[in-house]
Amino acid sequence: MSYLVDGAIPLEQVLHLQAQPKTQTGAVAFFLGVIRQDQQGDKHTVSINYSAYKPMAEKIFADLSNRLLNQYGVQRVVLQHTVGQVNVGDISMLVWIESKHRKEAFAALSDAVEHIKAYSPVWKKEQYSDGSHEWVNCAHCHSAHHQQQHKHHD
Amino acid sequence: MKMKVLFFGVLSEVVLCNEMTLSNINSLASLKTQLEKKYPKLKKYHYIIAVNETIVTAPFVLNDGDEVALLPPYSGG
Repeated sequence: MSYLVDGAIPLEQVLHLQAQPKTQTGAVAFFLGVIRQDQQGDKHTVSINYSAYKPMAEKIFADLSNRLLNQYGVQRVVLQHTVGQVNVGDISMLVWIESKHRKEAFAALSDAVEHIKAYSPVWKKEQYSDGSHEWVNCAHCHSAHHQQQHKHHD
Repeated sequence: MKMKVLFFGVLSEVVLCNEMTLSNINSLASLKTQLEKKYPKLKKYHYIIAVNETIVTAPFVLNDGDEVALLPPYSGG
């Protein structure tokens, strides 16, 4: 199974995961990353184009999935991240955790999202309403001050 | 001795390609020197380097057939 998917992740994927038989699951926690329409002066975000170092990213997602299963004792982990173009409102990332109890589901979910953002070799290029574009975490990001200020590090 | 060098994110716009093949480079230091000589703008960017999909730090010896990737700060999610 590939962790990277082309284009937006369909909402039906959430329904599909929940529809699968479960007998020992008492908690499902999931996170959806959604493309936000940021405003920058006179222009706003219309879409994001994601690119990735695919073989390395796949390995990092696989290692993360295995670690979450072992560390938190959760029953199921599903990780998906978009590559290619996604529009405002689209889903770009899905993290799905099934476990017996809520506590480990919440912990694994938070860990997964933070780990993906910090360690996955994935890059986003924001496309704006005026036709321009900008690489997020781009030229400015080697400045420590900028890292504290910029919203894309949220 | 040849190696494939990959560029991601904003770096691909600096060097105007996603991939190139370089010869006769035997260390990360010499790779960086050669690249930054040809593309001086690279010096303005922060990036880490992966060799064969594993993050490495200098000093690091490169071998024939290695795949080297220049990775700017990640922005997934």
